[in-house]
Amino acid sequence: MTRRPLQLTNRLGLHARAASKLVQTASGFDCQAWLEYNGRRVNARSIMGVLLLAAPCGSELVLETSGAQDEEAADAIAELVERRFGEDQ
Amino acid sequence: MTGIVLVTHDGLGEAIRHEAEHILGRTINLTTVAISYRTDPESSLHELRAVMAASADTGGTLVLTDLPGATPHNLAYRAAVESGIPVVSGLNLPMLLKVINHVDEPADELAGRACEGGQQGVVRR
Repeated sequence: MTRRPLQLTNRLGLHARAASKLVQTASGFDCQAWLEYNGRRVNARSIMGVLLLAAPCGSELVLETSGAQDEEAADAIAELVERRFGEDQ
Repeated sequence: MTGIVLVTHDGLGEAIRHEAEHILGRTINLTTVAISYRTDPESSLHELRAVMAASADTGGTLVLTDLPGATPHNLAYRAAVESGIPVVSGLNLPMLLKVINHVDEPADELAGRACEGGQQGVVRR
């Protein structure tokens, strides 16, 4: 199991397209993935779960992964967040 | 895999499909049927039966409509019930995103997901 902090630095935060990319990334690995923010814990493979976090720019989230590919999934999701979901700002 | 058919007032189904494709970043395989208030019910029923049959995948077909009791829903229900196809009303973006995410499930299970997703999107903050 891995747990690591994520900070959202893209201007729009965890908006719909960003949430969709995160879910697609999480779903590409053989593991469970969870996101925690503001006292809520949601399945990172569920787009509605991730969207309902409504996490804006600057939010600190915690990503938890567990399963055969938990490290790979955590690396890929962290990388996606670090490069602001491919957005310019 | 289940075939998805959106039956809505005029262009609402295409508009929702367009936004879902934008969010997901890919095209979505589904069929939309636009029903206008000028539509002739019998010709619409004929079209709906044909579309529902053509859309069936290994898991069957699921029909989503916008407003229960309105003509698009009533016609879709009449066409679907003959073949035991599930119909869920109250189409919104959360419902469609949920359905697309679980489209590999059979139609009856997917109908449950549609209800769940549609309701998940109604939040008061």
